[in-house]
Amino acid sequence: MKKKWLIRLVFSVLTLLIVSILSFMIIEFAPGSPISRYADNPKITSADRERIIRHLGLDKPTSVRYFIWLKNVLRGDFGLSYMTGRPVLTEILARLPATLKLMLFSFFISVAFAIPIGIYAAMRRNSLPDVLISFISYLGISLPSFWLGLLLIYIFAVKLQLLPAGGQLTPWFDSSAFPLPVRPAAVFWEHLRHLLLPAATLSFGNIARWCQYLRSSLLETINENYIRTARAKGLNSRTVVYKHALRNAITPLITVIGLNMPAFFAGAVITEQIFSWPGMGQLFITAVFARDYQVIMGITIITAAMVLLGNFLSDILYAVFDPRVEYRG
Amino acid sequence: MRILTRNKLAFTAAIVLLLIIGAAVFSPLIATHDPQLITLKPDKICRPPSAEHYFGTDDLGRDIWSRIVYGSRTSLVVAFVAMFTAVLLGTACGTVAGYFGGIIDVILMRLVDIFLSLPTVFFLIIIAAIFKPGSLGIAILLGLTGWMGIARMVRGQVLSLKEREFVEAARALGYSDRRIIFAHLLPNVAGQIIVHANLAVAGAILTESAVSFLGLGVQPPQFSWGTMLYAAQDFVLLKNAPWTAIFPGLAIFVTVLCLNYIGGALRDAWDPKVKNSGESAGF
Amino acid sequence: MPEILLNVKNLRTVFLTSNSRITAVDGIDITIGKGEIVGLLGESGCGKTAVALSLMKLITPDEGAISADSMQFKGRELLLCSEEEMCRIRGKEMAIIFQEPMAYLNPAFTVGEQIAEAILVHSPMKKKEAWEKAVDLLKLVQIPGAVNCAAAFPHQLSGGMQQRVLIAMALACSPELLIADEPTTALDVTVQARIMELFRRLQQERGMSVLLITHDLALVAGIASQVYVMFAGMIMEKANTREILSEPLHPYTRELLLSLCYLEKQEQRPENLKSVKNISGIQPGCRFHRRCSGAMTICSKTVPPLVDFGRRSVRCWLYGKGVG
Repeated sequence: MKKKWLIRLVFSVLTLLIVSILSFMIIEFAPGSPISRYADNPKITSADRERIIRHLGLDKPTSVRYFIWLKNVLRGDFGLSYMTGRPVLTEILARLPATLKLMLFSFFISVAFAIPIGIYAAMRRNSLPDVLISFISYLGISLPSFWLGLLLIYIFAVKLQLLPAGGQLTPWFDSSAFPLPVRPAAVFWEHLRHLLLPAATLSFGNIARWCQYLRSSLLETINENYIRTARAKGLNSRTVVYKHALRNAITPLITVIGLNMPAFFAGAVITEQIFSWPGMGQLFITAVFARDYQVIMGITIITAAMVLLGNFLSDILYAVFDPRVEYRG
Repeated sequence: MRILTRNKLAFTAAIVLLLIIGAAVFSPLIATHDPQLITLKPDKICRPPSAEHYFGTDDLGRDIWSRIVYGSRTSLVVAFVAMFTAVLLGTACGTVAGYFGGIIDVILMRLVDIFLSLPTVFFLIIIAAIFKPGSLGIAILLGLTGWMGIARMVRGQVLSLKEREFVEAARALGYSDRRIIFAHLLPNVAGQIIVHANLAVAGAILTESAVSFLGLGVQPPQFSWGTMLYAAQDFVLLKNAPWTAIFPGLAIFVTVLCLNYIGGALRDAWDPKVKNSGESAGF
Repeated sequence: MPEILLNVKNLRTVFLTSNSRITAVDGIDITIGKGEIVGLLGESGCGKTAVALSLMKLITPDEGAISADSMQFKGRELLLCSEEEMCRIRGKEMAIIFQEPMAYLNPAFTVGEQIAEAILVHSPMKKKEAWEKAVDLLKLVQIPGAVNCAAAFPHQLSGGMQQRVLIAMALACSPELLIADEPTTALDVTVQARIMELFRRLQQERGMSVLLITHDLALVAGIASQVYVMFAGMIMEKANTREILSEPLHPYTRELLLSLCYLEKQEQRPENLKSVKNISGIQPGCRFHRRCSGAMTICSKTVPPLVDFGRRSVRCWLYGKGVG
């Protein structure tokens, strides 16, 4: 069992290394070298350029520079942002909470909706509600999230004027304007109303995918023989479904959710962009347009690490739900 | 074709999809205006849908209907090239892994695992932004991000087919690996590959338009449906001329929905697992 | 004649698959007395398991349907019992042991939890108490290291242990009728003998009735008082055990008896896997006529009736031709 987790860990590290090499190579081959910005400056002589090149380590072979860069990264030093001149890590850490807030909230919404809907659809298989849920799920899977986001903004922010069109907080929001007893509620609502539209945008596809997956997994499980044993004991159908079937049906869903993680992060980038959400994804797009390579690399690697962490968590959860896992390869 | 008619909705989806493909092929006949014609006159900019402009006009006075009709060319061509890349790569990788097994299998499948946990869309965005690969390049990049599922499926199929009598017989007759693979294995996986190809096209359309929506995909003067939405995300424009956002998005949505529905119907018809699930009577 | 516990008349069970209906049980009658051990003998695929599931009304509408003229259990009509009432009967008054133990144990729960659950459904008590009872039950079915076994997950046990766990689970509430579907197939001979001994003891001490469903005539011969011989969904012969062994009437029963004499041949019982699908409801005539060495013309044309000879009955044209 230990061996299995060790292998997983080794491959996680390997994956991260591949991500770093890929990022490094992309930037290595990017048109324009880091010194090109000095090229137009007449005050810089060729000797100066030599000095800058040596200073930046550009005279060393690519592989050597990669390892120097990697060593720095392992120390938490991703370099300086070209846009702001501040350390990349500081920039990312400043944006991370907003992203985590959006993603965790969306994740819980997705799970909280997908699981009951999936169970309901499976229990009422081929009924009108099931067919409707299945149809809406097809819509959900096919709906481009950015378009959904625009539509939501148009409906709720422009037409109904119920919810803000973007941002994490209203800039002029002042909690002290509220009397003390309702202040926490006011602050909570202020946060929540900004979250609702982006979270809905990010969650809709997940709910659609996951509820259909749970539905079919549950239907498969209900055909298992041990369900018959449970019924033969005299358990009522509720206990049979919620205890015996669900427990086993949910394990493959955990794997699917784990596999969905990269797409979930990609979705977050787009959602942040639509809703001007001041998170890592928005920073990423800004950095891509500004060609701020250090920031791009930093975000890519941290995202990859977070995806791997998500996969790892889903593995652990899987092992919790399915005791057989320790015996599998 | 019988499989399709069995599911009426899928049949409708197939017809709609054919219409969309037809629109791409015969764009000049269907478009009412020059899609690139910019008319910066106040009475031409951001006009709502009318008999003259079915879907209205955008902020540069271009006819949205005609742009959607022409934009389908880019969107579909990019998606199909991406699908072919993914199918080619996935089938090759899956077949080799499944057929030869051993260490090759282990390495290739680990590679698939690694690719599956990579944030590939991030790389796609970076490469698209830095190297400006053009729409064909983007199509191939899209393919490179979407082959893993196909590889896994093909490998699984090949593994089980490999043990079947007709393959064993072919091997006993001394047929070459290549002949066994192309004449005996792949034809039997074709149905599943078509299902996945269908879903791959849908996925590619979504990803391409997402990247174009960010302004990093298909670049002007070329335009896809996603590119059209890039301009439409401006809040003021959305507020005053929502049709600039609604119709291109609708085009993406309907196309992807049709593809997913057809893919789903084909899968239900061809996937033996789904078929069998009702048969476990248990005696 | 003991008091009658279960009396089933004309039971039919039909399974639905995606493209066909399979009649697994085609009108059988079974009577089980209180404290009686009855054998139901037949090869795999003959519909034995379908009988077991039907008696407990465990076949879901998705899978198929049962019908019968009557299914009396302890004087109650099971056909009229709601699902809720059946839940109260299942596990408590009537319990079942399945074959293929691995598939019938939930992989996600420990064995002890699963047995304790069977106790807790019908008799509310503390969880710890139920757990201790579960361990006792495991001891009862001869599991070595019962305490450790209770804490184990099904996949950590051998097939034989899993089988005994299922037996323990069925005995959890001291049922009045135990339906045992090939209960000892996964066990080696010594354990098999002990389990049979346990059944006999429970029969004598608690007055438990057993319907022992098996392909193994030797097993039935050792323990049952009455034997039903089933083939392709129909009862071919019914008699008490002594009569079956000493004077089998039906050619199929004779074949079974013969194969008992060649124990080593059991591995290759003829056309073992040719299941009901190929036979039932498709061809006219006696279900057995294709394999019958003494088949006559009439055998392939009309199904023989079950002819009653007072204490025993047989379904064969050799006896009582044309009698209704």
